[in-house]
Amino acid sequence: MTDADGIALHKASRWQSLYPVGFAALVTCVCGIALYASLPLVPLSIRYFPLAAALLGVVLGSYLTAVEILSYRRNKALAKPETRARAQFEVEADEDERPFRYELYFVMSLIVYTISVMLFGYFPSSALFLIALLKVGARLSWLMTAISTAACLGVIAIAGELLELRWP
Amino acid sequence: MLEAALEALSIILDPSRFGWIVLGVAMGLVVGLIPGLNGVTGMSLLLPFVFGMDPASGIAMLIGLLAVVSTSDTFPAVLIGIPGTAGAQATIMDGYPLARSGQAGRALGAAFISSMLGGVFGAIILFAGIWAARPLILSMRSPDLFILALLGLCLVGVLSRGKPVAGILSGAMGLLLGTIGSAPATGAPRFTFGDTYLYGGIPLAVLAMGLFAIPELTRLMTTDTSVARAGKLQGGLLSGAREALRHKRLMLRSSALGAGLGIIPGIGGSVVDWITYAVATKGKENEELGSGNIRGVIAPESANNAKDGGGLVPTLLFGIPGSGGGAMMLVALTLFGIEAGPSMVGENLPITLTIAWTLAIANIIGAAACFAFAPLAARVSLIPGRKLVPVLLVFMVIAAYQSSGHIGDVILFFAIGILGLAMVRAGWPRPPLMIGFVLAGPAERYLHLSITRYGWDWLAFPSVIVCTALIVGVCAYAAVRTRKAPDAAILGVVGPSDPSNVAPDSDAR
Repeated sequence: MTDADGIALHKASRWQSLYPVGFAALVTCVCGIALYASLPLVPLSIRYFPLAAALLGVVLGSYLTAVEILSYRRNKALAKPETRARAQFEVEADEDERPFRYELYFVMSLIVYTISVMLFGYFPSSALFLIALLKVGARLSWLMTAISTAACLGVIAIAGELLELRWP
Repeated sequence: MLEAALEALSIILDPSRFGWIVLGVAMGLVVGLIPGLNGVTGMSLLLPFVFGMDPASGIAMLIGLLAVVSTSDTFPAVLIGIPGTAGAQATIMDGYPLARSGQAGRALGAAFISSMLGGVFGAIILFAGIWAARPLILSMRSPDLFILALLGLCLVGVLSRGKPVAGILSGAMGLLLGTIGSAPATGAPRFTFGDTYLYGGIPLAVLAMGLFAIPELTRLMTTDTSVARAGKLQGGLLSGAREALRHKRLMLRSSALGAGLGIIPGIGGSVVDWITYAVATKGKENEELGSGNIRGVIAPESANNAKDGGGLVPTLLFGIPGSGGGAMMLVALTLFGIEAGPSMVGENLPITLTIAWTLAIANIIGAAACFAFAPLAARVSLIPGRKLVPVLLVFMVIAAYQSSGHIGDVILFFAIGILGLAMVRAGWPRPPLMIGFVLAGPAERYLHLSITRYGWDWLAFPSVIVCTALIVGVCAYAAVRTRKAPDAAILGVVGPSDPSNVAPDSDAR
């Protein structure tokens, strides 16, 4: 690994360590919106429960966000490469980074799949999605990819018939 | 009670229902064999398909699956040193060294017998729990049930893995998600954004699958669990079984500990496993534990299966799930229109007792199947997980779409899956969200009933005051512990970035 790679990984690792702060803040905001949305609910009896849950969410979420920010600032120094043994840092960053990147690809493929189902229908989208996952993700041969995709589509068709589903 | 127990046994022994148990057991065995899949994922996959079946058959199938995952997860743990589920982590300590010294069959034989007897012990604890807690539960009023639901949710949040405040917040998110749709008291829509699809609320099965299955599949897809060095299954299954039977006291002690710990909400399979292992290491005869001592296999395996029976006691009787599997059970009961709590020892007592019987029977069938198909099962456990993901994903989309036959099901499924992934990444536990979602409906109904019946006087009930004080105490403890907790993200131990040889917790917390 070159120095440039190490620095790039360090930056990515720092973004990952900011992730809990961002997620806690996001959840707090969502709870805040829910709190605001539950205020005008009528009659009063349907307001108590969501209001209490949202209020609890805002209070705990704010506290957790504050703790995460403090924790991030306290531990920032630990994440700097110069404060760690270089070799140890590189190994940890490498272990941490690869699955995260693959995970993002996988999530993106799920989003694309969902949009594709809405636009082009379930069967063609599933066929493309399966081919992509089996060939690129599971690294099967073209023959095995074709057989597995055909088998899966067959199962979908049979299941649809049995369960009386109308595919989008 | 005895009459109800016999009636429940006759329900279970009905050939068609027995067939469903066997099918559930077969699925559970396969789920346990594949590192990366666990009982919660298996149950979440099965949920949409059991919807519409008669409750006894559907529940029997789900319990059959849940009961035996902890039996078959021993295969990968012993043969390749990778736990099938997190509940088998401690088994590796002695099981894998035994396999490397050519005694895999002996370790597996001992594990199957211990698992079977542990599971039966758990079922007995469930019977005893139903019998002992029945008068107490029947005397509870709506304010007690409301406050108990909140206390249970807080306990699950605090005791789950991760930061305690994040656990409680996760539960609060579940409560909020549970309020989407028509209000239980009046039917008025809430948080539906004007979309008719959301009037019925978020489908339970879609939430369960998205939250638990998508993150596990992502983990399978992004980490390479393929096995280069496969252990061989040699003979010695029966000698291992005989050896396990010679350690009756250890099995009994570990089973009791497992069932006892399982009753406490939020204690996961891996925690039970390690505590039992730690207890088993005390004593002179255990000095060689960790280097291939059969006692190190017997103790965690007995506890692992016994915890399911213990965990079902608070789930069924109080509606407070002890684990992720318990949360799924609560979801299943809700899907069948059965409400956990007093009704489980009242009009639904036969259903409760069929669950206990199924647990015992499934453990026996599961162990027998493991003995019979050990060579085949050993080969299945070597299939790399990533090759299964596309197929499982297709089945999950069918299952999600089946919930209401609306494209919204598929969109929600993936959206909740991404939420689940985000929670795993941030180190937040997911079972409290699921439990909060399931408890939202009953809790709001109990609150409405309490206000209608007692006004605000119920807030001064002694039981309510005690539980409220406990909730405040739990929240304060959570706040203090969260501040002192190390930052998992910076230490690089959050979520899927964990080394791939650590399987997800069997309770997916």
